[in-house]
Amino acid sequence: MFNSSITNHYTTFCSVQNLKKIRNFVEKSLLKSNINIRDTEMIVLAVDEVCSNSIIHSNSQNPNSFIDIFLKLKKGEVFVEIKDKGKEFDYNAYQEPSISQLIKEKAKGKMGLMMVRNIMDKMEYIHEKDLNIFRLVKKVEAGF
Amino acid sequence: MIISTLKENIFYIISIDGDLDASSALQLDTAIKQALELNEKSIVINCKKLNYVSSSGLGVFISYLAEFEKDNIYFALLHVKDKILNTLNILGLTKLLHIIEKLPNV
Repeated sequence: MFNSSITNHYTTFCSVQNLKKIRNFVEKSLLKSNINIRDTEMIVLAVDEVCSNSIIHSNSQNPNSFIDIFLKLKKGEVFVEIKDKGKEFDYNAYQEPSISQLIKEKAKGKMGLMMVRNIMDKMEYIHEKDLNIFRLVKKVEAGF
Repeated sequence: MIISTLKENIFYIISIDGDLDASSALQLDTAIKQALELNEKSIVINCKKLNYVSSSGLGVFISYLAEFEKDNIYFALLHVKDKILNTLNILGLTKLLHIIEKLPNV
């Protein structure tokens, strides 16, 4: 059984040095709620990918900018919301590359959102009131 | 994350200790670049103490695959934990990266 519905919030400034703290926050919150380790590890990775993109691309690692992560567990689903006030992401222009294309281009990036889409059951992005908002949802199982 | 290198027989071994994410991927990139500058032909990444990898770390591996193939360079990941394999499997990278449990006999 899951622990009762949780809502956790973590905020930090936009530095890649804070990614580990973000991962620790997500991991501790989910494991405390009795979500199984495999699902927890996958959600930690998805959150890390979105936060990395936001910190590096939307906020250019500006230490005066902040990123907020909200986690909620409800009826066997984990809801994640990640917000920042950085540059708007042109989600409509995003085209998922193939791995063979990345190998050919010798690309070091472009795999983050592919990972998120494969891990989570739902991912959406909106830009609202100067905020970038990523919403992720994943069905999870209890137990270890 | 700490990176250390070691030459064992023909193998240039790059060991990773810690988390390979957007904050540390550049260190790995530098280590691989250095191996290529040294004209190493057998590069092995020792993942025994690799606790976590994100797409930033995987991107470093991917970005060198074409060069490894072109220059006939042996490249493998050694001692990969299940947690890391799960991450590689998300995008099917276990089919593209050579994963080994021990160094090959030479």
